[in-house]
Amino acid sequence: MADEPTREWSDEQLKSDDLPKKDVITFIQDNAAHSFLNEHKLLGNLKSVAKTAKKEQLIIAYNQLFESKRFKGTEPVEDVTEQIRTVKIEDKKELPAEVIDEGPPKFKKAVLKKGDKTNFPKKGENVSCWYTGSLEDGTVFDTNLPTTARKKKQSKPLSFKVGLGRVIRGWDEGILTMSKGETSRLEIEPEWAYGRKGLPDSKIPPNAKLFFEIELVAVD
Amino acid sequence: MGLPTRAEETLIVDEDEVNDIIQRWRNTPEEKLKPEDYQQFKNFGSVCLTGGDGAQLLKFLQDEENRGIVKSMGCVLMTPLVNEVVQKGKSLDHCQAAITHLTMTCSPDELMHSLLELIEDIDPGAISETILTLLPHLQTVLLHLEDSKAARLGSALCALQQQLSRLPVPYSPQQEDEDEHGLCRCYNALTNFTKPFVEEVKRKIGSSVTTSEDEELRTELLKFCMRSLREPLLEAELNRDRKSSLWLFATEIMVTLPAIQESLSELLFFSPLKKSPQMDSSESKESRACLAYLLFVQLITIDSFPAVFSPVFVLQCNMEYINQLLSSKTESHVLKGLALYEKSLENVQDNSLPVSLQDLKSFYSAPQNLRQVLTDCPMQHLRETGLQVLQLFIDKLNSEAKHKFFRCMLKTSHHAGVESYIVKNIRNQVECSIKQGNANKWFLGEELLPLLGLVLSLPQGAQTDLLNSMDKIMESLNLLRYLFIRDKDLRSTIVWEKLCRIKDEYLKMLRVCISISRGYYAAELKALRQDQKIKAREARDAARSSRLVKSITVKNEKMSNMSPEVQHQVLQSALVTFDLMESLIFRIEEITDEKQNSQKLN
Repeated sequence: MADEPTREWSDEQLKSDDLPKKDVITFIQDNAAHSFLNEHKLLGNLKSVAKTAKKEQLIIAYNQLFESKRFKGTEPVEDVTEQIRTVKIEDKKELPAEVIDEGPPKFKKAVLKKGDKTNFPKKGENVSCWYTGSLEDGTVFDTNLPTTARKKKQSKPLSFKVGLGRVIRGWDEGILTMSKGETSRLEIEPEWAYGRKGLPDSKIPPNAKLFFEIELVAVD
Repeated sequence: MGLPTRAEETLIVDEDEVNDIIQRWRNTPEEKLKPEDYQQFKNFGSVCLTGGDGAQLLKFLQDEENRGIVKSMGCVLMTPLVNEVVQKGKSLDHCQAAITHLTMTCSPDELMHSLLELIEDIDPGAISETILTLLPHLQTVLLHLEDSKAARLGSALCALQQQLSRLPVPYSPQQEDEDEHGLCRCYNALTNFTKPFVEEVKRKIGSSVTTSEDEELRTELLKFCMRSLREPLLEAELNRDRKSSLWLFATEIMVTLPAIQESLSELLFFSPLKKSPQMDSSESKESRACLAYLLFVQLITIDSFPAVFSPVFVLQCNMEYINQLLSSKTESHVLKGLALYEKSLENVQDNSLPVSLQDLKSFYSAPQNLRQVLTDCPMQHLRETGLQVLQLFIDKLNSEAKHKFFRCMLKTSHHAGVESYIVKNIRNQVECSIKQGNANKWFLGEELLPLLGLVLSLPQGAQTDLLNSMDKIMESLNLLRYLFIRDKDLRSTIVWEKLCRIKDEYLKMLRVCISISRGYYAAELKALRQDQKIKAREARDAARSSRLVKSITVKNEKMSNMSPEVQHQVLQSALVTFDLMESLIFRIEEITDEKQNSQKLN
């Protein structure tokens, strides 16, 4: 059994504005039992919890955690499995990450225009980009760039949440290395693109290496 | 003669009276005109038309001196004029010209009102003719409107589509070509009708001068597209090899959406249903399901769809729509659902879908809906396609996911046919694992046991209806036979001992069931034969004494509807089935003994 976690912050420190809510939430989420988090409405994505929870609530929760000693691992097993079962069938869109060690990355990046080098997208954040995709022989199979500059003002770039397996892996991994404003050329091996099947309806043959010129316009 | 009374108003004989009335109208400002005046003017017009005097009416309307009258009261003539055109009356051209004149002269607001009323009161026998007649004029009036154009366009489109939804959608190419009710012609006319408004939105949206009116116009056009996707397109039979009328209409809708800045990927993948424009959520899902079908299966405008999404994500998103379509009882919906399911699965690598996907509600529901199609759908071609899709789905799951899916289906399908199909798949997986040489723990290792436990079990014990579960039992015996033939590959695993125990219990129970069932059916057969003998004797007696024979009670209630010959056949074939099962069990025992003996010898 792990040792009880130590109390890091005094009441004064907790009340201080220097201590961000997210830090307190992170601590409680890391150390409290599932049912404790559920009762105090501290379950879920860090950002969402930070939006809805007030500092006072967090201080109360923090103190109650140490008083009740309802840390992780102190719950009877049956309760936990019951909770997992009830959580199971949800309307989620995200797949849990499959951590498989596959070796070196299957894409190459050449920066054409530098970004701001500060705003890098994180997994789960929304990104927007203009792009053009071509095959090895130069055929353009897809682009969202309108034909004229005027039309570009009227159109919207492609937006999606990066790093969640919604796009081909080459995009997910590649865009995470780009910063806002950057334009780069990604060269993606078929294993991180459409693989052995290709995408015949979109003119991508089997085992095709794909070349994308991507401009990362916005991050979140 | 006196002044015409109310009842006689339609019988106008006195020309002087008419001229007087007209003169009075010429001098009356609009505000002073009474409802009786409008009614009378309408009657004059109707009389002209029924009398075949369309030319005279036109002349009257075009007369500059009557301009005031036409401007104030012209709208009341819309209905009689349109009806005349629809009924192909004598003065068709004059009527058309008259309508055109009215649309240029009267106030657009009033015209709009008259036209909407016309649509709402359409004669059900002349829906398409009326709409085809109205559309160009409706367009003219709308383009003349100064304000509330978007709202009126919305009302018009809604009313038009509501009327069109009363017409049956053609379901064969021949029907579509014949277009008996004019449905196809109307929808194509509707596309032309909306074109100028689409162009307007294209110009304005996204530019710096968008107003709320422009936004409203976009919304109304979006609603039109979404409604069209539901009706008629979801019902229609579309085929990319035959670019029919409705195909062209579908293409127009697919092109209009991005033209009004509605991105297809946003609509299909990223829009929560709550945001949908004033359509209830299942209607909105139907529209999007149709959209997904048109895009991914019929490939309409697929070349402008982003080619960057991962196939698994596309499958995930389409699952919602697949579910919607498969849970419908309408053939055209289920067909589209199956096609979308198949297409979405095809782009995914074999053996790749992870088990975590089955925790998603839509992923769990789709195969359940598929199973229901397989067991309940009365149309054979749908069941056949459904089975193909089921196999394709299974092929795409990775080993762990297959394992979980098989367990789930065995527990929930309650249908021997489906269960037998699953057992066959399990056998294939065991075979695959053995051949590949990789000791796949799901089909060769410890995890195989819980699965076999489900396959080789008779939950109703001695009460099992063997005939009902025949398919599953035969398939499970096949699996057992296979496992014991390939004992070499299994003996080394931890599975073997437990497998033998499961087999023994299963076969023991099965033998009990067979002997009980055989006993029952043999008794039934005997009773049937006795019954036949009695009936034959009675018939002979009756023929001799020429008395009416009373109707004979049948002992066996279950088969009371069948003739004795058929009953006999059924009982016989039941007994044959039991023999088959027993011979298979016997064969399995034979194999087991052979292997045991060869083991002892080694």
